[in-house]
Amino acid sequence: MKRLLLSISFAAVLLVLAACGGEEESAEGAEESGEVRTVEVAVSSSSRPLSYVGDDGELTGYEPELLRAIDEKLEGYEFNMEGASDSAGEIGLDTGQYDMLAQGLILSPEREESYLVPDESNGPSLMKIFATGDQEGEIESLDDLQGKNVVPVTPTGGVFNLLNGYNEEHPDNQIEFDTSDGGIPTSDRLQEVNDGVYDALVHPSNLGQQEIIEEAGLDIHVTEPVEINPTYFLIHDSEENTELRDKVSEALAELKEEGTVSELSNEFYGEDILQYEE
Amino acid sequence: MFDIIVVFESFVEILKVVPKTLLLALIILVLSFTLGATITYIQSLNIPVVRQVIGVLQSFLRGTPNVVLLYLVYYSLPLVLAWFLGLFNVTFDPTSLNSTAIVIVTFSICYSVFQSEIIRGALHSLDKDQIEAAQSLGYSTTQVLRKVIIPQVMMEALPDTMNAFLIIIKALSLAFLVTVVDIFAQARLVGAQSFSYLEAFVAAALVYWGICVLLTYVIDKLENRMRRGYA
Repeated sequence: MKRLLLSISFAAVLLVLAACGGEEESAEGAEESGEVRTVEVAVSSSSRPLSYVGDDGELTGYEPELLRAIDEKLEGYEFNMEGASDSAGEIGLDTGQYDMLAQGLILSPEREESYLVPDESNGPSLMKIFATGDQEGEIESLDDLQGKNVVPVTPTGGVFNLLNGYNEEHPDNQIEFDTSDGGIPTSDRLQEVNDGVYDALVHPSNLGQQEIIEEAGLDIHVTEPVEINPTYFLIHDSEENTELRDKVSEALAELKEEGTVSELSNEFYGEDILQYEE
Repeated sequence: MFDIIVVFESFVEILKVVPKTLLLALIILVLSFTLGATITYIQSLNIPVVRQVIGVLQSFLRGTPNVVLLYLVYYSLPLVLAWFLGLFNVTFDPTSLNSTAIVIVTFSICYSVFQSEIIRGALHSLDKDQIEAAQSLGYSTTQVLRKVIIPQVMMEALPDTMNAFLIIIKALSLAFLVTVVDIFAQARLVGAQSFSYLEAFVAAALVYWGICVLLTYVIDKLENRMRRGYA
């Protein structure tokens, strides 16, 4: 009896294995026989809704979904997305470990020099100031931040460049700010602004703050955009990547034309960010 | 791509924060050593409940990564302080807590456990006969401590403590989470300004290494001096 059971279960296991093998084979057969180059793309993994890991453990968000749409349009390329922190992503792009970087990046002269940049942006990023509720009327623009207690800024990113740029242009109206590692989540930073630990948080507004503010019932004054910047995918500067850059530019232009970008923007940001594009 | 001149420039920029980082590490080392010695002393008294409580705390601190502790302290220390001072009717604004204080508290607590183990080991290496000999010569307790126990325990604990100092210096790179700029954070800032992270990090590695080489040299000299007359 025992032996019979054993052999039955053994046969069952064999059958399952065979079925799996068969499936794999058919999947491989379905692939195109052309040369497909795998492109390593580094994305943020904890900037909801720009780019984050969903409930199913898969990367999702505005940028990853846009990348998937581009991937579908490009023949001969396959994107492999990987979550990476800010500086790690940029170093990986420097060394060529990653071919492409998508982290809601704003251009700077240095970045244009070091990397290949598509002609087409992937949508604008709106910088807004999130201030303690009682600062309404007091803080409306960057000019009002002098002498205010500003939430620490990560040294890699648009806010850092924005504030530094502002300070260079306004030597007599300096904004004082500390830098820190981006370890404290935005939701906690907003809570700190709400509690008055800090007066203001300068932040791109496409990272789900509105959701946090509403859910936690925070008393926060959100200003009009203080700056509108197109964000770009950056590509590692090498001979073989120039074609990739051109194709990404084309695909982005088509996706904007077709309304896919607006769809994604509505899905993740609750508004069409393309309306802010100049 | 890789520019050696940028490495040099970054190196010079990073050197500016070395004194501050070393001072911070030294403060943490001294505090954690004191705290560690206190723990060792209390544990040696073998008070029933206290001993178990400290034992649990020790294993908790030993088992949690620094970064987790830093978060815990960052979120809870202001509240704890406000509550504690509230008992004495001192009003304390939890938002006024300095970030350096958060770092010092976190790391001192965290490394006190390791220091207490180092001290315990050093105490074990001390011969009981020596204390008995000193006592029979009529030394007072203070004299025994000062002339016999402390010099020998210090010498025994020195290499490990030095090691802890290096570990603290390296661990301080986490402090940037709460805006304290150490060597590594400075490297990131320099990298962000020049957009040459790789060069900045290479420079940071060289700075760390330089500190390690220097410290090792100094400590070897110191140890040789202390060992004189005991060897």
